[in-house]
Amino acid sequence: MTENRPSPEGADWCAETTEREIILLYRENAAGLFRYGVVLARNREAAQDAVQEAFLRYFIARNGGQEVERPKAWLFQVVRNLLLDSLKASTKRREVGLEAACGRADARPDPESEYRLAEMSRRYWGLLSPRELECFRLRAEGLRYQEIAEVLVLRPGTVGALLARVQKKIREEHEGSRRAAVFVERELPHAP
Amino acid sequence: MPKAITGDPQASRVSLPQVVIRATVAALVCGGGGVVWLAASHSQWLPLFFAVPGRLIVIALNLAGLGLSLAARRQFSRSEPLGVVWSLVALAAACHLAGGVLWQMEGAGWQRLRLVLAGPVQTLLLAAGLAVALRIYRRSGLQGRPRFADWLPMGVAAGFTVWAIYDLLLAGPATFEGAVVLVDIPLLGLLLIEAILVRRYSLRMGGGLIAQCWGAFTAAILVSFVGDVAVWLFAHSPVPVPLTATSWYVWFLASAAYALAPAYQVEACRRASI
Amino acid sequence: MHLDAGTLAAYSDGELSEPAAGRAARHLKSCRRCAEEAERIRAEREVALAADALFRLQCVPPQDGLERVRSCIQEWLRSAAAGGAMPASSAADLRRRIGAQLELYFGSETAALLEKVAPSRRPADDPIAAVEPLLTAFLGRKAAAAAIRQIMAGGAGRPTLAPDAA
Repeated sequence: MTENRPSPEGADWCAETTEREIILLYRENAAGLFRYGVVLARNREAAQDAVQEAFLRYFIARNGGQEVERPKAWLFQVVRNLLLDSLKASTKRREVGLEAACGRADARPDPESEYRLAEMSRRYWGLLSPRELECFRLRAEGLRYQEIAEVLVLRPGTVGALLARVQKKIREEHEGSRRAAVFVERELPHAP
Repeated sequence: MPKAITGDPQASRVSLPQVVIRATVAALVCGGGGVVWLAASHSQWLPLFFAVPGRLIVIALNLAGLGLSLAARRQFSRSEPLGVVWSLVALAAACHLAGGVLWQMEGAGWQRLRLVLAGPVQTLLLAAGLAVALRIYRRSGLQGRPRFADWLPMGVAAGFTVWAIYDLLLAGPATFEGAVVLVDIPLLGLLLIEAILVRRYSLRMGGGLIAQCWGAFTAAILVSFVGDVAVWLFAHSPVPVPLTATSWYVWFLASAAYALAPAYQVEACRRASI
Repeated sequence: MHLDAGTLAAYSDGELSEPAAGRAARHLKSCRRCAEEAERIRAEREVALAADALFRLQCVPPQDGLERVRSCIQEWLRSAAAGGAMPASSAADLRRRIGAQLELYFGSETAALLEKVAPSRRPADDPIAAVEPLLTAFLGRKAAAAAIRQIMAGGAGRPTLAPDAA
C-alpha cells in the first residue's frame, strides 16, 4: 500500500466495485451473521447494528486496499468483537432466552412456533456453555472448522472436540427424558 | 449528534470540560470579587450574597452536573456497564439538586427529606456507581495496585470514619440529624476509598480523558468529604469561623467538580465520533 | 484403538485432511463400534439441523438491512472525502494510530500496558481486535465503533449504531 492518494475517478470506481462486493456478501451472509449476533447479544437491535457495522468496516478495509482472504470469517469475527461484552453480560444473567430475542418485526407472532422454540432453547441451548453455543451456531451457519477456529481464536482440532461435546450433551439430554422421544418425533415427521 | 467539521476538527472546538472550567473560574472570580467588595464596604450584605446569588450559582452548577451526567448516560446503552454507572451518577446528581432546592423550603419534614436525599441516598448511589466502575477496570485487567500515596489517604478516611462513628455513638444519636449522619459517614468513607482506587487505576494508564473524568470525581468526593469534616469540626469549635463562607465554597467547588467529571466522559465520546 | 469423539465429529463434517479421512474410513469399515457411533452422530445431526431450522425461521433480519448498510457506506464516503480520510498505509501506521487514540482517551502508558496484559500471540493478530473491548467498555459501543473507523480510515463517518439501541 502506498501513500499516494488515488485519483477521484479511480476512488469512485474502487468504491463502486467494493460496494458490489458488499452487496454480494450481504446477500450470502447477512442472515447468518444476524442469527449469530442474536445468539451473542440476545437482542435484535444490537445484532443488526453489529451486522451493519461489520459490513461498513469491511467496506472501509477493502476501500483502503486491504486484502481479506476469508470474508465470511472476517465478518463473523467483527460481529463477535462488537458483541463480545454482551456475551459476557448475558451469560451472567441468562435471563433472555433466544426465543424472546427472535421474533420477526414484520410478521404476526406464531404462538406455537414460539413455544416450541422456547422449549428447545431451554432444553438444548441452555445446556451449552457460551463457547459451545457459539461453535454450534457457527457450524450451523456453514463455516468450516478452519474459519470457526479463526473466529473463536482456537486451534482447528479444538473445534471438533467442542462440537463433539455439544453432541454428547444433547444426546444425554435426549436419553434423560422420555418426552425427548415424543419431541423428536414431532420435530421430524418424515424421519427415515 | 456531532456535525461533520471540515479542517482540523479538534482545534476549532472548545472542549466541554474547558467550558465547565471556564464557567467555574468566572463564577469564582465574580463571586470572590463580590465577597471581597462586600466584606470591605457592605459586610452586612454578605449573608444575603451567600443566601441568594450564592445558592443560585450552586444550583446552576448542580443542574449542569445533572444535565451532563444524563448526556454521559446517553452515550451508552442500558446493557453496558458504564451505562449503569452514569445512571447511578445521574440519580445521585438529582438527589444533590433536590437537596439544594429543598434547602429553601420551610418545614422540618422537607429538611429531613433533604438530609436523607443529599446525604446517605446520594452517597450510596455514588458508591454503587463507583463500585461498577472499579469492576470494569478490573475486568479489563489494567487495574494495577494502589501505592503508598493511596493507602495513606485511604487509611485516613477509614480512621476518620471509625472515629466519627465512635464519637457519635458515644454521644448517642438522639436526633434524626445525628442518625442520618451516622449512616452517611461510613458510606462517605467507602466512597472516598473507591474514588482513590479508581483514580489510581485510571492514572496508571496515563492521563487521558477518562483518567481526568475519574480525577474530577475524586476531587469532588474529596472536597465534599473534607468540607463535611471541616464544617462538623468548626460547628463544635469555640472559635468563630466563617462557617457559611466555608461551606459555600466547599459546595461550590464540589458541585463544579461533579459537573466536570461527566463533561470529560461526554467529550471523550464526542471526540471519537468526529 | 477407537476414534475419539472429536475425530468422528470432524469426519462426519468432512473436515479431516485427505490422509486422516482415509485412515478414518478404513477404520470405520472394520470397527463396528465406531461405525455405529458415526451413524448415531449422523442421525443426531439431523435432529440438530431440524431444531435449528426452527430458529432460522423465527430469527430473520429486517428487510431493509441492505439499504441501511448502503446508506451508511454513502455517508461514510461523504464524510471521508470531506475530512480527508486516508487508510492506514502499513501495519506500523495502524499501530501508531491505535496508540494515538489510546493516548487520547486513556493515557500514554496504555498501549504498553495492553501489550503486557494481553500480548498478541501471533503476528497476524488483528491489533484492532485487541483494543476494541477497552474502547467499547469506556466509550460505549457507538463511540468505540466510530473510533475504530477513524483508526482504520482516518475518517469516522456518522455512527451506524442507533442512539437508543437497548
